[in-house]
Amino acid sequence: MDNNTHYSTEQLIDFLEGRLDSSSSFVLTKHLESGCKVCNETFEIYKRMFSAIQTLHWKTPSPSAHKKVVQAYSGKYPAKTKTRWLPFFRPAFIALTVLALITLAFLFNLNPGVVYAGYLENVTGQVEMKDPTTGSWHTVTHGQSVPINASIRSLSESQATIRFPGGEHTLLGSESEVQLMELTQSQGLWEISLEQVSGQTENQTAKKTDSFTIRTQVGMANGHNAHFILKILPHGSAEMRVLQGQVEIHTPSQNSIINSGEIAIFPSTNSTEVSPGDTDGNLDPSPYPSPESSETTEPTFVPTNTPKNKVTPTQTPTPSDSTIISVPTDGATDSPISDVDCSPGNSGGAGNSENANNSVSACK
Amino acid sequence: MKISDYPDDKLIAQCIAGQQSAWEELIARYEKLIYSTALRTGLQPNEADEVFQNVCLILLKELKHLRQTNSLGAWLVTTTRRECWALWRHEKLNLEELDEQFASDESPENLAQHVEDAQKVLSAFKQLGEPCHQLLWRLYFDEENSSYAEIARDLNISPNSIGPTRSRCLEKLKTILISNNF
Repeated sequence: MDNNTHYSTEQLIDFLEGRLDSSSSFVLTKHLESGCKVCNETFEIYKRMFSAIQTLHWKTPSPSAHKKVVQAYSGKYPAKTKTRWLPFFRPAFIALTVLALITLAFLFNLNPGVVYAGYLENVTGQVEMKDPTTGSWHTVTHGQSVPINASIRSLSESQATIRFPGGEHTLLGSESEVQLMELTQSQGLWEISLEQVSGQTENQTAKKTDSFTIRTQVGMANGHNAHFILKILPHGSAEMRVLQGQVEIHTPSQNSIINSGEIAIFPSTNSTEVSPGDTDGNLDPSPYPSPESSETTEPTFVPTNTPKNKVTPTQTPTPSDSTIISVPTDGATDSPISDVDCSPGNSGGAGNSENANNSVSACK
Repeated sequence: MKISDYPDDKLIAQCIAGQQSAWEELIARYEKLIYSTALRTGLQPNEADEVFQNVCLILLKELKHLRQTNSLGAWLVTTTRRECWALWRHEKLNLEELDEQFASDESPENLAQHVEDAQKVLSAFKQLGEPCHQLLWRLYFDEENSSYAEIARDLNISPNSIGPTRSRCLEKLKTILISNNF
């Protein structure tokens, strides 16, 4: 066979595997030795391939020798193996992690929207806060924080001021109870919501107040840049007295705005004093305390900066067609607060709790 | 990239970094080379086991000092032969016979090259489709030395077609290997 004729793959493989007879092997060997480039290149590749395959059939050391060698590594180098938690450790680990995160959230104020709180000042007498978990009441002191959902109550001849981060405050009169429902901040403006259960509060909003809402059983009051007093009367009705600014009133039956210098009374919807003749849901205001009523002759809070001579009545009470009674406070000597000397000069300004306190002592 | 595809230098680096699986891969890659080299010197299997362990311990000790990691296979063959020579001398066996064995055996570089080639061939073999994969497995990779007749029966093909089919399959394997810079 000359160098222009080449052996097939099958012949070369048979030669490598020793399947060719001696004469054929001799001729092929001579051909390769003659320098046929094509056949030599092909032959070398297959030879190399078969040599490689042969190594796959080499014997391996005993398993024990192999194991000893593998184990020797851990003694020489600290093995970095993946941590595999024992199954019974996993729940405990998860529980501890969750507990730690909750603790951190409270300790480091991770969610500011949740942990805003008011704080108490000017606490006099016996003022208590309700433990939301146990339901029991504990005496509070000046400086104590008032978290969301906390209920504060004052006993007889006691009072306290709840001051909020935005500068708002609520002066809690004696034998009164409120619950802080909401205290949030958005874009620098504050939203505060209280529920007044009983007694009387004097409330002052601030410049950064977006919403200051007090809910009662009879309705909801929302003050805007306002100073107002809200009193829950014994039969469940509510009396709103606006000293400054405006307060929006929302009741199930109607909405209205109470302006500075006006007093409004919201009748209790479940009052037993509903006029028998009233069939459309409106209540006859007549049974409710009128300015002449002796029920409110000793108000705990008295406006300290409401000049008597500047307040003009904006609405003449017409009890028959409204459940809200607007009462002029302009110098009315028969007003619930008229028998108290609360002249403008007694206080430096409304909304200041100290002034309010002063007003209390001055007006009593 | 799977750890079995790591080149030697990367495996060694991982071993030094403390990765146990890298060491296991390194041993799996070269244990046949070490052990068979020891056996070819005429040692008994238990003696070859001892040599294998000694060589691996030396490798473990020298991992940080290996300079030419691309010739690790050849280094292991040379180290194995030294260990064999030491064992033979300790047992007062015929060292001249051992020297002759070494002289007639392939060079450490060639033996290491066979091991390296084997990895490439296996990788290329995995890329073959049927019937080549099954036929070449039975012919060259399976530990059982089956006859053509047995393979033809098992694969349900004519015995006479095994030769031509084998040739075509080997050509395919060669094509894959050349494309992988074999």
